[in-house]
Amino acid sequence: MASITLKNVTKVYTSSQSVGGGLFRKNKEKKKDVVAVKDFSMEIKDKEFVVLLGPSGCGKSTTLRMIAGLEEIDRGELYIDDVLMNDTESKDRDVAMVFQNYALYPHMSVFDNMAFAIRKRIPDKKEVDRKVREAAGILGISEYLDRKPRELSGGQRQRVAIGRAIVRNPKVMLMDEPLSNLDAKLRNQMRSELLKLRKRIDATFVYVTHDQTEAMTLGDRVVVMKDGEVMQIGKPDEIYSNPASLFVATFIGNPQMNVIPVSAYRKSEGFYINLFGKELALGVEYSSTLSKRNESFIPLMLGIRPEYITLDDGGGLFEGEVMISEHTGNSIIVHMNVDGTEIVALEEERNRREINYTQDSILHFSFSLSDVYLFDAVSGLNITYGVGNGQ
Amino acid sequence: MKRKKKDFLFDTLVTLIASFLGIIIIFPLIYCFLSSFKTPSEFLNPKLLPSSFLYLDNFKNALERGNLLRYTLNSFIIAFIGTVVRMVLSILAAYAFTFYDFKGKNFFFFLILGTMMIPGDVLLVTNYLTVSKLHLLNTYLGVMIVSFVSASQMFMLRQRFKTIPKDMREASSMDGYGDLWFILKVLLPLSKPVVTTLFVQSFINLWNAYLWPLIVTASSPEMRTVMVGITRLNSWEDENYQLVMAGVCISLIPSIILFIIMRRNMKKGGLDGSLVG
Repeated sequence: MASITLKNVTKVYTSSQSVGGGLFRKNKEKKKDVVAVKDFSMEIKDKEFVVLLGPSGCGKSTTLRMIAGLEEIDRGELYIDDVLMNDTESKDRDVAMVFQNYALYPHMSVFDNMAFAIRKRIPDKKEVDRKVREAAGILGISEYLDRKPRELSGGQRQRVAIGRAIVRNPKVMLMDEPLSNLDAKLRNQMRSELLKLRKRIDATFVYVTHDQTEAMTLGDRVVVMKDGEVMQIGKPDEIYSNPASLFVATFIGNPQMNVIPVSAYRKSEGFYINLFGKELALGVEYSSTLSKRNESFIPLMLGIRPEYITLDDGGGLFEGEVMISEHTGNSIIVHMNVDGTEIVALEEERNRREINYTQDSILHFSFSLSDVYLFDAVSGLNITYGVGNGQ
Repeated sequence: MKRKKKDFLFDTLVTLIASFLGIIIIFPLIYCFLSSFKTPSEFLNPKLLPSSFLYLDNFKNALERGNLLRYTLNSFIIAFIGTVVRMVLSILAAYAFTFYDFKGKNFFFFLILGTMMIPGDVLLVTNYLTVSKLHLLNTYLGVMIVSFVSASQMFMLRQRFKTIPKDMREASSMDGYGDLWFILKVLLPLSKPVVTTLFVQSFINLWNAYLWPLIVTASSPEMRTVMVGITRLNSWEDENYQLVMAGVCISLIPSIILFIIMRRNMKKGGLDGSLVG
């Protein structure tokens, strides 16, 4: 029952930097406007799980805090259920938030931490008690209700923090990197629990993370942000398979996509690129975009994901020298030097053949041109994004 | 083994020095306590112990002749209300300086801290004139008013509040709690050791104040505080030191009781478990 609409939401910080000066000399103040979030527009549907993803400082947390009402919106409009919320106090927005550092009240028991969130709204003690126990049951923390936060492990504290939010039964659940402080194993476990939890709670979720695995597994839709701007909004598989820009392409995917600078040139039959000394014909899907360009050599960035590179001992199109190979258990990540460019390939362990992956050995590899992405070298935009299927 | 012996010697030495210093500090109190049981003739005798602990005339005289009961009540009212008001104002100011962002925040903060550098005695005359113009001479308010604001307490509280994550305030504001609720339910319980220590310290300071209460209540004997009252027990024609000692013993009681009550709360209390880690 809660849709969220953001229209050109913008947040500008005025940061004043002191230059020189000291205790007794007047500081020269340099006022500088920093745009934390720029023209964020999006419609989040009821009960949707939206993940804001990006590197630190990209404005994802600021966006979340603006939805929460903890940060003022400088420009643009925020609607929750079609009601303008710009000037509504956070307590009246019916949103709950899980903070990155949990922010539990250390002097209160787990029960009181959770009950504190609803006592103001529900005067009936029995009802408070019932709701807290119900939420604790969902999260499996019923046996810790009498304990203080300091007596709990990291994962249990995390549950209490989530419990404090769900006990309110809010329309909107906001989560600010809730799993970033857990160890890897616990994070995986909590991630799948969040998925289960989501089905039990009737709320719209907005989730902030810098972890792409969390974003890909949890989100119905993912918003990739950089420097306060939205780079792409889409379903996780769309973002992976059809990235709008070089930034999105390299940010999503592990190991990171290989990027090789190339130039496209026209020949009578179409467009070609020269890659590691081999001339390759580009598919017709690129022609329409490239033919609009006047340059004789169009500077491009070629992207190929490590998992789409096929390795073999001989017969592959290209040749590289193994720099290092990393065994991760279920896969091998091979870093190769190809004419001075580092190319990373990912081979799944179960597909592993009798290939010598050791350092300094020469490997052959190839990939299909249909798995390749081409980005404008200047703007970084995917030249076929929105035109075809991007491949 | 050698090492253990060395440690033992060092520990013994430290204990001895500490005990010696402790005795020097507490000796006047012990002397005062013992002397309050002495008869006038005994007092001039260099013996430390009184002949009998059952000689209570000094206490009786101090309370009856010296009107110490009334003075103790005056002192209590002044010290207690003064401390409460001072704490409330300090807490609110420290809260604003910690959790609010406003123009000139640092300027005002340092302006307030700057007042700590002005010695209290310098202000004695101006304060007296102000209080007298306000017609507050010989009133409780007149004695208390100059102690309502304390820059150092505000500063100490702010230092404590700064260690409390802002997320906690945001979390409570999202749950519908305003600033006052947050202060009462979260901030103060978490700052209990600092708040109690400052409370006790402030109470004892106001209780022990001498010069200011003396000049403000000069013309009204029944408004005197206990500290001023005690000195009046002794006059040039009648040297009654054992009476003064009994008065001092009586005046110490409230401070000691307060300290004992609050001591438990002064121990370290922390943010353990609130955050990640």
